Amino acid sequence: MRTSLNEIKEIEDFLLHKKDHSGLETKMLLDNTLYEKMEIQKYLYSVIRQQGRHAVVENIKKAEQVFFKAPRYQPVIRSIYQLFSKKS
Amino acid sequence: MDSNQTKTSEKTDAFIELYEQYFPIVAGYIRKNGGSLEDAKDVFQDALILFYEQKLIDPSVRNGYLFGTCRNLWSKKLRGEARIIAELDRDLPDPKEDAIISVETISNFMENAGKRCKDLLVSFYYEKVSLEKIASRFGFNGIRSATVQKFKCIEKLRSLAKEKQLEYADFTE
Repeated sequence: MRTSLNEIKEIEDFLLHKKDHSGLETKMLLDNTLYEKMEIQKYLYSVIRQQGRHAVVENIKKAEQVFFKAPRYQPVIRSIYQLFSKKS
Repeated sequence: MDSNQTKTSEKTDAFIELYEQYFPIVAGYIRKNGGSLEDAKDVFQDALILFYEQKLIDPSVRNGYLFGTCRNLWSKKLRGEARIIAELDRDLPDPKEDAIISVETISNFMENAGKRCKDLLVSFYYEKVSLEKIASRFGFNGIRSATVQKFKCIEKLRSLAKEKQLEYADFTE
């Protein structure tokens, strides 16, 4: 792998796998852009996870729509509506 | 239909099945504890997200986890804590400038990096798919090639994020 990709791997090992980071710390002392790169990479992982979650939420919403609208589930949906229409 | 679309529809089907099996029970519980149908829907949606993510970490987790999660989420809701979905829509702060980066910008980042990169990164970092499976799903020669591609995608996104930061710095100066 080329140097820039190895650097990404090294940062990932530190951020996600909590591997020994003494080498990375030394490099950060010598290269002040490295800390910034690490912060951006950390941020990207949260962006990726958020994107993944968004896709799951879309699937869940679609499933909810099908469950409440599809004819085959209507008997159970009617009983759920009845349950909530009763006064406590 | 491509394999990602098939996976999406399989996922939706699995969620429908969980709605069929567990939503009536959860609705009954929420009703008994003073909640509305909308409350039951909200709690169930959030619980499904947590259940799905728990399954990614531990595939042996049982469906009973779902009902337990619903109970916990309902208690949290009664204590006034925010919904999981609401947290999702909250914008992420830019770590460097403390600027707020909108969800829209985040989505643009990912789209600009290309659909293939987006799918690969989400598969690995969110869905926890192994590199071996990623290599076969995306047509790479092997684990090594999939690993290199993954880091190239991160590199691409990192430079897009850097550009965004520079634009923001220019704007605020």
